[in-house]
Amino acid sequence: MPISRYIDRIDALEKVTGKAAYAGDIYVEGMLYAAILRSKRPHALIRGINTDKALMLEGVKKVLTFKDIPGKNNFGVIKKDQPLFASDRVRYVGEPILMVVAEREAIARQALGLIEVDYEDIGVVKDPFDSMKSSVLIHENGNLLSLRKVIKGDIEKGLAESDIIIERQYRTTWLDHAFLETEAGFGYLDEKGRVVVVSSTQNVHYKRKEISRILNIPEEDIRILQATTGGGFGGKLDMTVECYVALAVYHTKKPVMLRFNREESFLSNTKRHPLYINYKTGAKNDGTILAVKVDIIGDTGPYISYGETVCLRAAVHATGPYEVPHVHVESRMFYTNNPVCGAMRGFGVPQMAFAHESQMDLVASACGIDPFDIRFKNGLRKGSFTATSQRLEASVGYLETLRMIEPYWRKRIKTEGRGFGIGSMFYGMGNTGITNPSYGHVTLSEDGRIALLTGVCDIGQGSDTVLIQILCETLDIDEKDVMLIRADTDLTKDAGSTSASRQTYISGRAVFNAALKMRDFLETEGFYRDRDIKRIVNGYKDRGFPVFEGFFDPPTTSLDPETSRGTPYATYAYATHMTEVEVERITGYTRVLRVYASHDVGKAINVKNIKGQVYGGVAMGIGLALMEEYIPGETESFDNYYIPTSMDMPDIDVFIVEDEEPTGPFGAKGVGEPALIPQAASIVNAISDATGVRPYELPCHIERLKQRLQTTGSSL
Amino acid sequence: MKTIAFILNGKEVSCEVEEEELLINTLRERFNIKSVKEGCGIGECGACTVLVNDEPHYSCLTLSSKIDGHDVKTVEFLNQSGRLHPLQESFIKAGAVQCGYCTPGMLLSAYSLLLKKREPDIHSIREAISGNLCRCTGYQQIVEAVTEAAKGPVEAERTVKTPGSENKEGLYKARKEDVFKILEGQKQSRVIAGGTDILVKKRKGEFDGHLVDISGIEGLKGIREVDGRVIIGSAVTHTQINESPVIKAKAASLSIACGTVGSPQIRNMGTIGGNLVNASPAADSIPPLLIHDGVCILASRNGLRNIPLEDFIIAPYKTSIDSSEILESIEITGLDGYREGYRKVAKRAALAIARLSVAWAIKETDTVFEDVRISIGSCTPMPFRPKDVEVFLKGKGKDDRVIKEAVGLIIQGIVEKSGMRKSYVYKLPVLEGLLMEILRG
Repeated sequence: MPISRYIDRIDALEKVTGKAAYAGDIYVEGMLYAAILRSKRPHALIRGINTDKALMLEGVKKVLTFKDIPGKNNFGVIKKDQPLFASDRVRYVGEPILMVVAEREAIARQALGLIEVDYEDIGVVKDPFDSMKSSVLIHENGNLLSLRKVIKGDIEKGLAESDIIIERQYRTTWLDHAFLETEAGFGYLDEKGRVVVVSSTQNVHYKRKEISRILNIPEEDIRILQATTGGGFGGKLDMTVECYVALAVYHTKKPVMLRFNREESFLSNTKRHPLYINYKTGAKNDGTILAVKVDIIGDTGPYISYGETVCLRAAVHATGPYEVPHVHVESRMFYTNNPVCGAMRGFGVPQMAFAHESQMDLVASACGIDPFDIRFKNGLRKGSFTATSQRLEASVGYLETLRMIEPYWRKRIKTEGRGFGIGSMFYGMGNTGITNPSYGHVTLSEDGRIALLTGVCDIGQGSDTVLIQILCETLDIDEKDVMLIRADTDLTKDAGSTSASRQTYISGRAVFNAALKMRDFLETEGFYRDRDIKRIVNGYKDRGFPVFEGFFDPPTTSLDPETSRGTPYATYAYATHMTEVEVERITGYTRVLRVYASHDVGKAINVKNIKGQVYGGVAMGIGLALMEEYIPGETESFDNYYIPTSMDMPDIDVFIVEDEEPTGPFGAKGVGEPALIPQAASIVNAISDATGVRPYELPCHIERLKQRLQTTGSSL
Repeated sequence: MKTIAFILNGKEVSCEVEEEELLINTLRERFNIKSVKEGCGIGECGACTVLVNDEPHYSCLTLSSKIDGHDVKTVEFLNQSGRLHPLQESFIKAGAVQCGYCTPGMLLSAYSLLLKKREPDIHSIREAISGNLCRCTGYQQIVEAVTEAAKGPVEAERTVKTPGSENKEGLYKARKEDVFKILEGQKQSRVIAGGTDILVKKRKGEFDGHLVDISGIEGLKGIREVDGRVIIGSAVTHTQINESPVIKAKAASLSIACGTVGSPQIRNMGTIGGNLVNASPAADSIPPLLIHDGVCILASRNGLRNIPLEDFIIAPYKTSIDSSEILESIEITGLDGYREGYRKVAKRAALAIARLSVAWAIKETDTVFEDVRISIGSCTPMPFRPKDVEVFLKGKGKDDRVIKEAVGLIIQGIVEKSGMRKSYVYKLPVLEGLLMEILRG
C-alpha cells in the first residue's frame, strides 16, 4: 500500500503554465554572455594561442585562460584531475581551452571563431585495447585508471563443477544523456560582493566547494542555487558551466550567462562508458548457477569524472540479482582520447544487465529450462549472499517482481516474428561502499507554516514532492501547510547529489528523522489539539524558531581492496521487465509492442512518480537497445542521435512491489535508475526469442540486426 | 528591420524584427515569453513548438517575418482566462510532468490535436506528439492526460485570423516579379519556403547568404486537377498533400510519403517544393513523384519552363534550377485503379530520415502485371525508377519466377550504376526483400 498522503507534483503547475524558471531563461539588464573555446584535436600540445582578433571584436569584454584562474585549475567529482582550461595540452576533442565574455551571445561565439590555436598533434590513444599497450601515456601514472575485482569462493572450482559453461562477449558504446534542457548557468555578485551562481544542476554543495577552490575564496562567499532543471540523468553532476560562470563573474564583476546549445552539449558532456564485457557462466544441468567469471574493460576517456565509480559498480553488479557461490570479476577502466565518460543513469549497470540477462537466457536454453524458472531458481532472497559476500537481511523483493509478471509470461503466445524476453536487475541504493549522508531540516516559517529545508536537487524525478509527502505523512499535515526551501547552499545543508537513486531513500530518511523531532515538538506544543500552527509560530517569534535536524547515512562498509568483500550498499532495489517485440526480418526493424515492468521499491511514496520513472526508464532502455549511439566526430545533434519518440513506445504496465526497507522512510528505497536497467536486457532476450539470433552488441539497430539475420540465420 | 503585426495569444501585437530573425527569439526576447524553449535549434526536438493558426510549428525554424498577419499561440494561451485549461489540469493529474522542459510544446501539440479530433485514439495522440521529444516521462502519462482531457470541452478561445487578410508589402508577402529581381541581383541568395532544410543548413554554417521568402506568393499554393494531371503548387506543405482528397485518390503513394516526413511540425512547415529543390537522396516525396511522371514547372522572369523530375535532379542535393528561377509547381499523372504504397525504412518511427524507401503503383489483374511503376529512394545518389524493369514486367504473369528475376535485375542495375557501396551490405538485401513483398502483393 502506498503511503496515504498522495499529492500531485508541487512543481507541475508552474511547468504547465510555462512559468518555471530555468537557468537559460534568466535576463538581467547589462548582463554578459560567455562562450567556451574547445579543442578541435583529440590529443595535442598547445604551442600557442592568438586571441588578438577576438579581443578587438566590438562587444568582447574579456578573454579568460588558465592564467586567469586565481585558485586551482582543476576539478573533478572524485579526483581533481580535470583542468578548467587546458594549459599546455589537450586530451579530447571538446576540451575547454579558454572563455570569451561578451555583451551578446552571438558576439561571444563569433569571437571564438577568431581565435587561433597552434596545436601540435601527438599520438592518439583510440580505444582501451590500444591504451593497454600504447607507449602514449594520457597521464603520467599510466593509462589504467582503475582496476577493481570482486572475488568470492573459488572460481576455478566453480567452473570445474559446472556441467555447462557459456562464455560470450558483449559490447556497448557511448550514449548521451540527451536531457531536453541543455546546460545553463547564470552568475552575479550580490550586494555583499559574494559570487552567486544559479544553474541547471544535480547538486549544489559540491559545486560551491569546487568554485571555492577555483577562485580561492571561502565557501561562505559563494552561493549556489539550483534553477528548475530540465533533466540530468547523471550529466549535470560534474562541473558543466558553474565554474566558468563564476570565473567570468569574478573578473567582470557583472552578471554572466553561459549556456550550451545542443551541439555543444553533445560535444562537451560526459558520456555513458563503452564497456567490453567477457562473461563466462558455469551452471549445473538443473540450472543452478555455480560460477560467474567476468572481465570488464571500459573506455573512460582522458579524465576520471565518475570512471572509478562505474568501474566498481559494474563489477559489484556483474552477477545480476542471483546468488552465485563462486565469483571472479575484474573490471578495468582505461584512459583514451575519446570523449570523457562519467555518470549516466545506472553507472555501468545497464550494460552489465545486458550481459548477465543474456547469459541467463543462454544458460536456460542450454539446460532446457524456461527463462523465468531459471531466474526464480537462482534469484536473490532474504538470507542470500551477494557477490561481495553481503548477507541480504531485509527488503529483497526480487522473486516477487518475477511473480508479478509470471501470469503474462506463462500465457504468452509466440507468433511469427514475435518474441518475448525477461530482463531482471538489482541495484544498490546510494554511493558504493563509502559514506554518502544527507541532512534535512524542519522548522517553522514566519507565515505560519512548517518549513522544510533540504539540499536535494529535484531534476524532474519528483523529489520535492516526495520529501513533502514524507513530511506531511509524519506530521499528519497538508502540503499547503508546508513551505519548501531547497537546493540553496545558503539555506540548506548538503544532501548529496541527486544520483545513485539515493534521494528518496537517503534524503527521505533524513527528512523523516527531522520530521519525527518536529512531531514531538508539535505534540508538546499542543498542535494536534487545535491544529493552529500560527499560534505556535507567534509563541516562538521572539525567541527564534527551533530547527530540527535529521541526518541519515546508509550503513555500509568499505570494500576489501582485493576482493571487494563488504557491504557496498545498505539496500538494493530489484526489478523485472518482460518485453514483447516484433522483428521485421526484411528490414531488421524491431518494434517494441508491450512491456510489463515490476519493481520492488520498498514502499511507494508517490505511485504516479514511480510509474513516470519506469515509463521513462523503458524509453531510455529502448534507446539503449535499439537506436542510441554517440559516434565521436560524427554525432552532432538530435538529427543524428536518435532517442525514442512517442511512436516508438509500447504500452507499459507497471507493477509495484513493496518489500519494505527498514532503514528507508516508510520502507522506501529508490527507482530512478532501476527503471532503466533491465529494459534493454529484456529487449535483447525478446529479439533472440523472435528471431533465433542473439544481439551481442548494442544498439541493435536495424542495420546491425539485419546483418546478424543475414549471416547467422538462426543460432544462439 | 521589418514591422510585423500578428495575433499573439489572442491579442493583436506588432513589433520590429530583423530580416532573418527566428520566431523563437522574437517570442523569447521581444515578448519575454520564456515558455518557448530551445532544445536543439534544428527542428528535431519540439521544445520550441508554438501554434501558428492552431497548427504546431517549430519556432526555431520559423522566420518571424512569416507570421505577419497570422495567429500565434504559446502555452500561456491555454490558461489566459485565469483558469487552467483541461489539458493543463489533466497533465498535472496524470503525472505527465517531470522536468517540464518539453511540457509547453507538448501541451500545444496536444491542444491542436483536440481542436481537430474530439476522441483521439492512442495512436493518433502518439502521432500528434511525435514531434515533441521527452526524455523523462516515456510519454505514457502524457497520452493518458490527453485521453482524459479529450473527454471534456477543449476550446480555449479560438481566435484564428485568416492568413493573408493583411495586405502588407515586404519580402514576406512577395510578388513573383520582386522575387526574380532579388534572385537575379543577389547571386548568393537562396529561396526559402518552409525553411526546415535551409535554416538548418544556415545554422550548421553550410549556407551564408540572403534568404528570399517565396511562401507568400499566391500562385504557389493549391492542388488542382486538370485533364488527368494533378498540379501541386510548390509551396504546398506535406500536411496539405497528406490530407488532400485529390492526392489520396489519384496519387496515394505521395499522400502516404508526405505523411512520413519528419514530424507534424515539419509537415506543417515543409513544402514539396523545398523537398524537391533540396534534393536529398532520402527525400520522401521524390519516389512517389517519379512514379507519377512528375514534371517540374520552373518560373523566372523569362516565363515558365518544364523539366521532368528525373532530369531536374542531377546529383545529391543538386538540381538544375537556375539561381534566378523558382520552382512554381510540380505536375503529376493521376493514377486510377492502381495498388499504391510507400515504404520508408528508418531507425525510429518518427523524426527519422529514410535509410531506404520504395514507392510503388501497380496495375494488375489476379494473374498479370499490367503496369508496374517502382521508385527507390535513399539508395542511389538520386531516387530513381528502374524503367527497364518496369518494361520487363509489363504483361508478364504474376509468378515468383518473374518477380525474382525482376528484382534481381533491379539490384543488378543499382550495383552497375553505383558500384558496391558500403551501405549496400544492408540496403540491397533489404531492398530485395521489400520488392519481393511489394510485387507479390
